[in-house]
Amino acid sequence: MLRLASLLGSAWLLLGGVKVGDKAPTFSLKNVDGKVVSLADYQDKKGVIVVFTCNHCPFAKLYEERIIALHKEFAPKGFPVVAINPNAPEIEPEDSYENMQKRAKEKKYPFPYLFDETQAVAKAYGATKTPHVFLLVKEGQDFKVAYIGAIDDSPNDPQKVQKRYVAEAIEALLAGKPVPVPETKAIGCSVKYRK
Amino acid sequence: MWRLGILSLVYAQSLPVRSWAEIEAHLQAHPETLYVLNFWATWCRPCVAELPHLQAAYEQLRDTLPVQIWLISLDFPPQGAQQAAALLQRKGITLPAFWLSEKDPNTWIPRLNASWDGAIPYTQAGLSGPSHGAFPDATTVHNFVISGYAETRKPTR
Repeated sequence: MLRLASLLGSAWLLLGGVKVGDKAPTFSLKNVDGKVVSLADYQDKKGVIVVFTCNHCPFAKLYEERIIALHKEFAPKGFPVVAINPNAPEIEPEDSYENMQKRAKEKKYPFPYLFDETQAVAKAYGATKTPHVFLLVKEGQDFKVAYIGAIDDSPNDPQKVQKRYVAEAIEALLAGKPVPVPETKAIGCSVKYRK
Repeated sequence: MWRLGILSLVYAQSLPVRSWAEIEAHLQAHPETLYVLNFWATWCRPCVAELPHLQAAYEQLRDTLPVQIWLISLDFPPQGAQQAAALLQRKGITLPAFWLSEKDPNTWIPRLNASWDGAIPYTQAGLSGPSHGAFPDATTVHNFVISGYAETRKPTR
């Protein structure tokens, strides 16, 4: 009984997922406009900034403007944002598809906001929290994971950002250099996985 | 009743502030006690939901094991320590609680557990014991603490 409890307890850490350098899992998910968006649609880009995020999480809200800014800065350079909501709406009703549509409209998201209804994509990537960034870079025919972690080092105060992790990773990739910090930690809301 | 209200207000002002180095040093100086560290924030719904489970499990266990459950608030400055104290007061949670004065998680999380990426709630038994995500009930906390105690105290005989 005890052993079972501790096994169950650690299961949440062992969802699998990708590491930096791995091939990026593909996805085909429904966007807020009702159309399906796939990773394969980005074949002509240099990379994709995949951000697992959601409506309800205060951390995700703190970063919302900065995610929009990232897209505006880097989509023209070949690195657009794709946002994915991995949360089960029966656990977090604010993260339902309808509420995603409302949010994307209100905030005029310039990027797709996809609903990972089965949570399979979040599990394949190993998304544990929102926001959680997986920066992908095109290598040959494949997308590879180049960076995993936080957007920057100052969630609560955009004025105090010293390290723009995602931006610095993209700048390095664009310059043909290795990503300076390929993985970072960040506090965030846990992804609401179904049991 | 009125008096009690005033008293409560005074009590709930703010959580004591600790750096990660201070928490680490305290745990290292008291190896006889298992410190279960719970990382939470007032904005984190599952964190707030499990506080009563942590409190209940501690009350069951405190007479049988040398164990402490510490609540470490990751609420944002500048109001975080006050907001966290007010919530604990409101919920009747009396476990020891601190507000962590660290800005960049990359400085202290790797020292605690390199495989934790910062999603909360997160609970760990001591500085190197097992860890757990959200607790659904007090029994799960209870079992986690007992197995954590056993694991951090492997026989030295």
